[in-house]
Amino acid sequence: MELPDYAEKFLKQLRQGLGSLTPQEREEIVAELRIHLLDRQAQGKTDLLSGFEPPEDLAATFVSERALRGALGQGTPWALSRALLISARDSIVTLLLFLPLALLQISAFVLLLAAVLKPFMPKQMGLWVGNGSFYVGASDGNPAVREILGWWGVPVLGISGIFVFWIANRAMQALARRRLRRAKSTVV
Amino acid sequence: MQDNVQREIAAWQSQLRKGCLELAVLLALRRRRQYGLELVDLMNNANLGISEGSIYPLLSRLRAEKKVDTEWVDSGVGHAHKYYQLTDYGRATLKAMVTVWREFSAAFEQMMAEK
Repeated sequence: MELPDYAEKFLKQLRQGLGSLTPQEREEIVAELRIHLLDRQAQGKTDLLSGFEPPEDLAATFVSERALRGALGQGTPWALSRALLISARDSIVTLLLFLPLALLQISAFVLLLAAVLKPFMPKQMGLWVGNGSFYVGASDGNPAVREILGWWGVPVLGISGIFVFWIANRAMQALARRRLRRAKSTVV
Repeated sequence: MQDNVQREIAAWQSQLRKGCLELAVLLALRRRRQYGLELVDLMNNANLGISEGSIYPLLSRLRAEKKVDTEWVDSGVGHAHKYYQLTDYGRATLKAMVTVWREFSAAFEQMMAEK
């Protein structure tokens, strides 16, 4: 039995929305929904999609939940950031909470990079202060600023980087858990 | 005022349904395996008001949480269906949820019975 064109279009759009899942997961979801629609059609239902959200929204529910669960399992900043960005598509609050955490992660990366490069570029890398400036990283050549940590920069920047990274990662995990709980309670 | 009350009740009822849906699905699977459409019809016959498409993300989550597992079965109606059945973990979760539900329900019954 064939589905009407509008139902096929729905399944096609759903498949597109599930693009970030593995082909096996994607095809299994689409196959299951196709059979659901075929069964309804066999029962004589005319408007087959009346009980369904738009395909993009339905796909986003699958993708967002899986991404969040996978990211919490992995715990890496990349996986967490990706999952939270997917989840933020339908939540401005998540986006607003995510952005400062992403900035913290970038700051942690800069601190760690500065600590790693310090032994190789001792005169150019460090914590720079003076003339109203205060920054970590490579010198901008301004003679009014001076590096204040010296060789202490390696442990200080390194430990600070690890600490900021840890804080940001914990906060991202908490945000991902919060989104997952919310996703669970919005099904119906 | 009546309109406001009805709106409040509708929103509250919706929250209640959302909170209880997992329990309802686990209860529905406790006797036998079922596929998505059967579950939707069962829920709606019980006035739990679930929309057709919503059951699948929920079932997907329950599977990811290892509370159910799945099997494609061709029952001779033209195409195979994806059946869901409780795992041991799902059964244990259901048992714990039912205990909590009964305690909760008894507490409310007692409060409502008090004059």
